[in-house]
Amino acid sequence: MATEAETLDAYGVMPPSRPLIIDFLLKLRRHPLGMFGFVVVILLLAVAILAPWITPHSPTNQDFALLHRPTMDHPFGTDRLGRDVLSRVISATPYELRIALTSVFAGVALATVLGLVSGYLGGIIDFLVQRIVDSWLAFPPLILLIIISAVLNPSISTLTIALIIGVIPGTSRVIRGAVLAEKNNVYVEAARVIGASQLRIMVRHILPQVIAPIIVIISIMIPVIALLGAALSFLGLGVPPPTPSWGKDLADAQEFFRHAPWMALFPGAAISLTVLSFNMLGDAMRDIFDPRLRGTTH
Amino acid sequence: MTQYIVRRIIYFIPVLIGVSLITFILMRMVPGDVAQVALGASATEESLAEFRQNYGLDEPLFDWHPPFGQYGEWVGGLLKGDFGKSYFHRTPVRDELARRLPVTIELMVLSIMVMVCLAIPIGVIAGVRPNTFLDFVTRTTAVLGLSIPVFFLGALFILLPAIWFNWTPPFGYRPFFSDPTTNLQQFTLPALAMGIPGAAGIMRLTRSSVLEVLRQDYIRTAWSKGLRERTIVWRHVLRNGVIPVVTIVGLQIAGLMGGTVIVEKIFVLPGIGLFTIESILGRDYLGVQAIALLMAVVYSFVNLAIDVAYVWFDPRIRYA
Repeated sequence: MATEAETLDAYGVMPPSRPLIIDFLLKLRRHPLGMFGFVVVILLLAVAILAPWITPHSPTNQDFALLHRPTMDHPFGTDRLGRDVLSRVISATPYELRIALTSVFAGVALATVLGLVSGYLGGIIDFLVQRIVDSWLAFPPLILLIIISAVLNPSISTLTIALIIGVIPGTSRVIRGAVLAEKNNVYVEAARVIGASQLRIMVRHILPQVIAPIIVIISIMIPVIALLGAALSFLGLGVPPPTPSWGKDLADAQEFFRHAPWMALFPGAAISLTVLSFNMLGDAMRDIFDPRLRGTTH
Repeated sequence: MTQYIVRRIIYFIPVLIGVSLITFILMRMVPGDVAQVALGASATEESLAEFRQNYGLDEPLFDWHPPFGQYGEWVGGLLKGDFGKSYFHRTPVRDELARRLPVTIELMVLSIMVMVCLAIPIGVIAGVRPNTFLDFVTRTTAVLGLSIPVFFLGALFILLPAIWFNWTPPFGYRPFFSDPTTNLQQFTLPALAMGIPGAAGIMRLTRSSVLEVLRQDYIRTAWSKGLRERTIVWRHVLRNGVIPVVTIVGLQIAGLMGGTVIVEKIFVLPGIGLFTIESILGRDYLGVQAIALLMAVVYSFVNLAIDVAYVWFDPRIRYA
């Protein structure tokens, strides 16, 4: 499939190497579903940034008729407190995206440090870290996150912390595996011979070699963490009211499934669309950045 | 093989200690006074003190001398099969678990059936006929299935029949053996809501695994021998193609255990999942500790069972 970039051009000249992001976008043209995901993700980010200016009403003011069906003025209807559902769905977007993206990036960064140190140094440090990771991984993820969110009083920052803790163990294990595969290469030996420090070998020599699995993990984790975060909010352990939240708003709609289904449908559709677009973009990223994994993960 | 299983079980002991420490310490870090939550805001100082004494909450968490503090007492009880007494329900946690386990077990078994029965046939068909319209439809549906949160799928399963047919499932729980029809009505939708997202992942893996096997030399040999396609798929592709699928089914079980919390909340099924939420909100330390430990143990044993099943499915694998 997408290997055209490495070949010589029509004049028999190697094209200049492009920045990673441009290269990625050019290769993305070959992945229609990935392109779709990419466009929707950009749109979601735009909605998140512009949220304060594009909500038709206030997301928290209880100004309108209770549980009113969708109309021209309220395309998504109103909820049990007379709030505009469309405005709540829009103004939840920045929170949801920020929570998911911050926790994945922070979690993967910490897991990279842990995986590098544990995998490269080995010995007793590796043994201890891996036994702790074993114990974390023995729990079903949602159960562990439920307990952690109960420990930290519900708020946006504590939800983020809980999700970061959820990202670290599995991710660090994967990165450790990649580091173990790299560390016995000759170039590492060469760096050690010319007197490079441990830190320098880890950061300058091994880290660049494990960037591909790191990018792939980020693309896998974003939809997973977005779903877990929404599940915690749904259970009342995430974003506290009155902050708009897709998961919590859907949980509040539970009593009104029969009489006001729009209260549940639109926040639920918003979560699904977000996760779907990140999944589609992630699948394409996996194909592009890690050709070795192509076809093995789906 | 026996040696391998024994070694895995021995490795399991430090994990178990880690798991018990993590749950114990985390639960003690939960803000809020247990006695206050259990007795309500109007409780007097004396009744609070009495409650703490009754439940051993006035003892230190860890101690070097017998009975080794609250942790030691809890672990000591566990070894005798005693999970302690629920602060919230004022009953032994073991009774509560015994009452609720059948609900969750039935839910999980049905969900796994949904998962496997949907995923493997569709995955095999999509793998045998790649890049056809059918393949495209199933792959798109699979990404969709992976993206819909369990609670939204559950909500849709209640909502849509209510709007279209004015029908809602009978909420609550009736045991299968006393009222099979009601029981199945109560469990079908939750099992579908939990099984479908899992099925999506398994289907994708089955498809790529079948594609992989179809490229092998022995499949070409089978074709050139003039075997019929049906024989090749059933006899040659399926047996090797299903091996990696076994692992992911095991991984999905972790997801299902988390899913029970959500699905039982939506469909009001009084199982372990609902107990988890009640215990967390009621600061019921021993309840949460018991559930977390139970789930970790079950999950670890499922993983062990899968590694053992691997050998049975694939005689090429040998554990030293």
